[in-house]
Amino acid sequence: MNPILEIMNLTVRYKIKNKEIHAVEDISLLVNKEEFVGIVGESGSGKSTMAHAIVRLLPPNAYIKNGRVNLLGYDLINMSDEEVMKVRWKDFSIVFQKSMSALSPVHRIDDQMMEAIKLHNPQISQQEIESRLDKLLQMVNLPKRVLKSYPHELSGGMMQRVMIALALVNFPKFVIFDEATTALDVVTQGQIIEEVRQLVKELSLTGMVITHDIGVVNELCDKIAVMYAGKLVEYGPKSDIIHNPYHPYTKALISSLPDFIKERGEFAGIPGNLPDLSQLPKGCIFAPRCPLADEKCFEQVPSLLRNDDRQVACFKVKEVKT
Amino acid sequence: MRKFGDFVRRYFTNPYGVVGFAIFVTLLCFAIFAFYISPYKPNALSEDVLSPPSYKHPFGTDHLGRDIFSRVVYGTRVSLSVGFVAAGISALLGIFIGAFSGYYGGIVDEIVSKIIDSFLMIPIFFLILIIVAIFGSNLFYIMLVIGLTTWPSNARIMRAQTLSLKERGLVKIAKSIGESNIRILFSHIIPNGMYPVVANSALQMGGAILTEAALSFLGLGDPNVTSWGKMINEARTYMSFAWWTIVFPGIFTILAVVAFSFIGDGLQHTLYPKLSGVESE
Repeated sequence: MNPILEIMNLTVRYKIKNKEIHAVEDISLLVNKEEFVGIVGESGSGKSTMAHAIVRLLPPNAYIKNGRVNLLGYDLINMSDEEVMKVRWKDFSIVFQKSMSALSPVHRIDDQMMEAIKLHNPQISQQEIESRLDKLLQMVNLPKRVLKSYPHELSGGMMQRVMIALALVNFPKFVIFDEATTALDVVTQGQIIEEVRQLVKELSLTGMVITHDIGVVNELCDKIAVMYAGKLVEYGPKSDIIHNPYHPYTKALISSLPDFIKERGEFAGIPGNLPDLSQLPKGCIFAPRCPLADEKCFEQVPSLLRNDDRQVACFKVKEVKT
Repeated sequence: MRKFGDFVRRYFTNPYGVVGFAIFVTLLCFAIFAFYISPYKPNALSEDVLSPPSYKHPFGTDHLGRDIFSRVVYGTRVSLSVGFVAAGISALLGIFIGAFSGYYGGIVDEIVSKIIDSFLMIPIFFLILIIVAIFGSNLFYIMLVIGLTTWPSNARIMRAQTLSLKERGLVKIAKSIGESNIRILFSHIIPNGMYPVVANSALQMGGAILTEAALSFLGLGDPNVTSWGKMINEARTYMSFAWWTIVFPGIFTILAVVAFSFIGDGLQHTLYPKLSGVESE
């Protein structure tokens, strides 16, 4: 099967006052057609940086140290900005987090969406645009009047739906959902996830879901990639990872979810904080917080081990399993 | 349109805004309908020299027997047009220069910021005084010079707005959709960031009126137009025994300046915190 997205040894760093922040370290990932990959990890683990590196939207103080990204046949890292501008939003797009500040408060919704259509289809007629907008709104379950509204007249859930519609405006093949449901209440979140699932089926989308909520990943994705401090620590099919994690970080992440069935108890957090990403430790990056770490973990960096369709970077896989 | 309705409603909840707007509308009527309102021609001489306010001459007459009420009414035209044109030039220059400098950054921004800083350091009134003294005192020159010397404060506001807007999600979205830099600048940055400049411009209108009056008072005003400043200048000699010659043009100057600063205040209250803070909903 031909992969839609192929990331190879992607390394992204931020330059801040003579310091190098290792935001994304040496990540390789394959996404096949009509597959959804969930990227999970705590805040600051480099999930969004990776996504923005893929679509070439990194802030000016970040740079791609090395690596290759092949998305739908485009060699994105080596393309010029102009070339990327032509294909971004046409063949692939991204749903940003914080939809509240992502829409221009002085323009109506339809103006903003039309702009995205016109820029990539200069020949399109006004009627075609309108019928396309109607169709898009139906897809995300919004009433037609939203088109003539300003962003401040919409609720958070509506704005998030507008953002999703905006990402799908040119019917791309690949979409990244960057914390698309994070700022919403659980009920709206559930509805939007359900809608996205429908859309994925309807438009045979391939994509990536970035979140720190394993529940969202569980609903939407086929595969899970767990990131910690810029590194890929585990990657594999969803159910395998959730029911049978190989990496101690994945295990801790899953057990930190509140459980509604059990009696009211303690939240199982993960003690400690993310390491300082400007000075990477010598050994495994998770070792200082890992309950299973021993001398070897502090000395050597574990490489990504392959086991059928699963990958994990840990010396202690056997001990985690039991 | 709902947004405009909201805007009007919010503006008129501010008492300063209401008062300022009322004075402004009155002055605007004076300026537009000067021909119908004034009982005499502004330069018509008469026998009643320096006569005090009476039924015939509500504000009295000056040393040449000209009706002060008529002259004040015609003077409104000069003052308002100076205010609008000068502040308009200043706002346009300030918005474009500030937005370009803030958006593109780098060396351009460095240079523009230094220019703005040096303009803010120079005492503007004396600069205007020198320019007008050298190049002559046509009313149009005066407006132009006031506009060309007051844009830096607008540019500074616009630059700050641009710096904060360009980090916001909406610019990121526009960029990722594929909009060009110029388009982002004109359709996102400027429309979203110009509100504080609009409020500042209302204040600048008052300032421009005052500057023109001061120039006229110093004898550097346009000799061909009737302006409040010139009336005050001419009345200096007679003010000890004919107070009406200097008090009425003075009151109107103050009213105009107060009206514009109240309007600026009202606009600031209306536009600044609410429209830029859509997140608050």
